[in-house]
Amino acid sequence: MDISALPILSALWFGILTSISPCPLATNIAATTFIGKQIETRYSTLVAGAAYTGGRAAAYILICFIIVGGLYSIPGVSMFLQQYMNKVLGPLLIIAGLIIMGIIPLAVPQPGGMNSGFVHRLNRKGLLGGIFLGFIFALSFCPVSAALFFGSVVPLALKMESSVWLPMWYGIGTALPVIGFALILASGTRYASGFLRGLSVMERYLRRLTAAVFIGIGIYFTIVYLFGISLPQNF
Amino acid sequence: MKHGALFKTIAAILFSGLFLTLGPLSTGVLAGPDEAADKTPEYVAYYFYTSKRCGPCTRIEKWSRDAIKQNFKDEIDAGKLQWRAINVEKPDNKHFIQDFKLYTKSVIIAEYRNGEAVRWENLEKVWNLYQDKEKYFDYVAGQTSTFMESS
Repeated sequence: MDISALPILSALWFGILTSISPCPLATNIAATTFIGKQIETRYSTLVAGAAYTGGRAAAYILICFIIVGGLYSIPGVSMFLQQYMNKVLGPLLIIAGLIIMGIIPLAVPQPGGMNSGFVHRLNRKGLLGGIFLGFIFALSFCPVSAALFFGSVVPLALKMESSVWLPMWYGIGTALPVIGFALILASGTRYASGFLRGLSVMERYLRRLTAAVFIGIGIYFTIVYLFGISLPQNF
Repeated sequence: MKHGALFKTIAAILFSGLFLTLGPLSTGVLAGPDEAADKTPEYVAYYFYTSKRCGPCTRIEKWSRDAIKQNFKDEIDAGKLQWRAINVEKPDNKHFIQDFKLYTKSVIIAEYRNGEAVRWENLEKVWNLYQDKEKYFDYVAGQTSTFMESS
């Protein structure tokens, strides 16, 4: 597969444009706090960010495969995701917030006797949560992201016969600004923890902040998308 | 072994997403003529939207309508061009999604003959220009003019 730099850079740029547009702001804030709360080690934030990126890229690659495979058309997939995913997202975010808060215990599936310590380590480092969050947030299209992905990236991927690489770079682009802000949040927290009562205390505060953000955004999505109640907005 | 099981877990998450995206396979897409076909003028400038409105979406609708009405007053008065805003979530309008291959809220210019759309263009760049009013108006007016002249 011959993919020159220009389509890759275009896909990456479309991803960044998507991420900095106003409509995914709420999910970006949720993702930033989730990734930024991983401050256990110096690399924890990057690892969680990479997982989030992987989840997003996987979602876009999957959509491209569905379209390229002829399973469903671009209008069908796009309109369906815009209509239904945001409705699912509200309750999902509320549940995720309650899990982060520790109010709902997380039962991680352990097929085939998977080592529970290993799963817990992954979970604690935000790997599983990052992948899941990236995947779900990527599927929650708004008009701007749908316009850029289905109107620019998918046609480019079809033209270049690249159902994997271009959606993957687009996914990376959508995650880059979020990871950038998460790194700033994590660095600030680590710095502040030196003056305050240590990393574990800061970690606890960050976890509560993340849970509050998830629940707040979840309630917003539930009101707006599930119950169809319009709230004042400027974006 | 441990990693194999992890991949199974990740695969399960990915497959759950697959089912979500395949959901619409069971929903039919309404196809049919425009309900106002007998009254359809030669050209129609559409704004297609959904029930959930957003800031950029209402701006795109307003700017597109204003650009059309300001730049094509004679054509509109003569009944040659018409502006229509259509909610594609209403059952009678769902056919427009397939008719014009809509993937988001869109501005479409269509040419009709005997009530049937023979040619259309999606003004895709509205999503790149919705923060610059002057360029937006120039783009919508320019594309519409070129489209009408090229028939």
